Amino acid sequence: MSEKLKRLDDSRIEVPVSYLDTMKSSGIIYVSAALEENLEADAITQIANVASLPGIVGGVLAMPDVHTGYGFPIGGVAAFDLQDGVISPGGVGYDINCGVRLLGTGLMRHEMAGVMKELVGKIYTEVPSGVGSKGRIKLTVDDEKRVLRKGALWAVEEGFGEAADLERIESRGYLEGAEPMVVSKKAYERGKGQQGTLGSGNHFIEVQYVEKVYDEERASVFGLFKDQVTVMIHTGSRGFGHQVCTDFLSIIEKAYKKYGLNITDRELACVPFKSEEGQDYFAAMKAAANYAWANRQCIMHWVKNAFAQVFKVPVSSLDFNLVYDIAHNIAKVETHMVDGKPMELIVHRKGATRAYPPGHMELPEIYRSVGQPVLIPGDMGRASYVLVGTKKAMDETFGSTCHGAGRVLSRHQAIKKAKGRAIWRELEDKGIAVMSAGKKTLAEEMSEAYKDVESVVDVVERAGISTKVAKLRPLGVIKG
Amino acid sequence: MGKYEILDISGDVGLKIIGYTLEELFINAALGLYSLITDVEGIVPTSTMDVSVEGEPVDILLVAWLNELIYHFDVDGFIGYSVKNVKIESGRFSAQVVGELFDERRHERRLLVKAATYHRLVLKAEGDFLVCECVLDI
Repeated sequence: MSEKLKRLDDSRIEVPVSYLDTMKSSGIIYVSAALEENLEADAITQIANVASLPGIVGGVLAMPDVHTGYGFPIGGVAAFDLQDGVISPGGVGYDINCGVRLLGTGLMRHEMAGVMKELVGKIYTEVPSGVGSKGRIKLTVDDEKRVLRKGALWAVEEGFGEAADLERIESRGYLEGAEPMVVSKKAYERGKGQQGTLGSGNHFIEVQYVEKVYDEERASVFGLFKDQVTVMIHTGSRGFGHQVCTDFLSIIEKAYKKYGLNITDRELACVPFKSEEGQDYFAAMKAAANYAWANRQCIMHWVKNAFAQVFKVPVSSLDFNLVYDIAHNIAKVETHMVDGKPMELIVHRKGATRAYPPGHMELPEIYRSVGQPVLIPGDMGRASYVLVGTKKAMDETFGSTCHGAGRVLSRHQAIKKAKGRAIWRELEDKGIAVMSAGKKTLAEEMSEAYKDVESVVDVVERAGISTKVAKLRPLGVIKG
Repeated sequence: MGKYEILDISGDVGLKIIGYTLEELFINAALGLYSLITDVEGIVPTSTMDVSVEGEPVDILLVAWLNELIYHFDVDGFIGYSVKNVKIESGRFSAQVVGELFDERRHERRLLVKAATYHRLVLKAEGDFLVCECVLDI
């Protein structure tokens, strides 16, 4: 550990204000001694850079899955004062509202024996994925505007899922104030054919089962039980969100100087939250967030259909229940207690998940007494987790926790390590059926390329910023 | 020295692009990008696409060029085999890309490149060459 860093306890390290001359507040990294070995020096510098931005409140938080990103680190949380703070596209990331959705089913693990190959193939056919894939939905400009304004509600109105799904989505599946007028023609063009598509890279659909329940009461409220079959969907706002980020990085990179801001890294480009550019970006980011919630809603619909076709029964007889849908790349205006007083902040979560505690008024009634489900995908060979938000997260991390395992090998290193191996066969030997569009995707995304998600989840649990509810094991994986 | 090399970036992918001239650097940047998406040898150059972008300084212009090509791949499926008629003048770049529409039955599916970024962006002279390093989000 660098001499400049200070270990606070067994799950936290401080990046003190003295780490970099420009820092206005400190940084806190949630990390165990074991995971500390993987901490990248560049990620620590990025934490210090973000802590140097104007209007930062309460320090920059980094989760145990933190790693170097563009400008802001991935796995970071940064909150800024609405009055004199900034907003930054780099604090959200390119894939705006990349997130995770968990769907429960009425099926048990033993019922999947002998059908997984067919099911994975069927989902792969139903949900377009990978390079050059064509979406099943073609949006006119007016349709797309409705998607941008209404998010998952648009999808429900179009027959994808049910109204009851909406309360089981963060922010009910749409952010108010999305403004289609500030979105570029290019973003519309990229978005028109990509609604209801998975994409590629680390995005996936995974059929899983509940291997272990840690918290019976909460699992029961979330509709989860041992050996139940679940489906996890990990994707975001596709080319639409990327174009919004690309457009506004270019706009903000040109504009920041006129506000007297000094930026050390172009990807850190930011403007005052209240500035015209800041408000335009926020309105466009909301539109992209809504696009992503609609996307996961459409994909879930086709996943349900795939199950029904394979089991040759109506969808309604499979007792699907949406557990929750969360964003892990987003900026939101939220009220948090700062020095004993409520304060409105623009909270950037990039590779971090909201983790609200029991009793929070923003939670839907169904979950208010137990707290918000937190969905943490792992790698395709090991496990994923369902956690729940805590009061300590509200007190320490603006109600935030980790978002996943985090890579340890680059794509190139992973491909090298996989040379001469058939990753699909290794997965099949472990009882995991797999389909992938890209030739090298499976190698790039193999288990060894990621940290063990359990080591990440253990840190946030020990730190008390979320606690375990259930562990999910993969049965089948669809990758782009 | 080759036209481009792939850089090892955790989570994403980078390109080190090499050219004798600025024009060649921009051409090689496009070829490097397309090589990440598919096996360029499998592309049949049957149609032409005119592209022009603006941006300053020149490294920002190069990122804008790559983002324009990513955009046309994402929207139209256009994948390039070669680049001709390049012109660079104060903050503006224009060129013709020769290639065809991507067909997943014929073309190898490699990486879905979603954006060229400013992350660790470098454009500098190295001896007789110009070198640019650019990280791409995938």
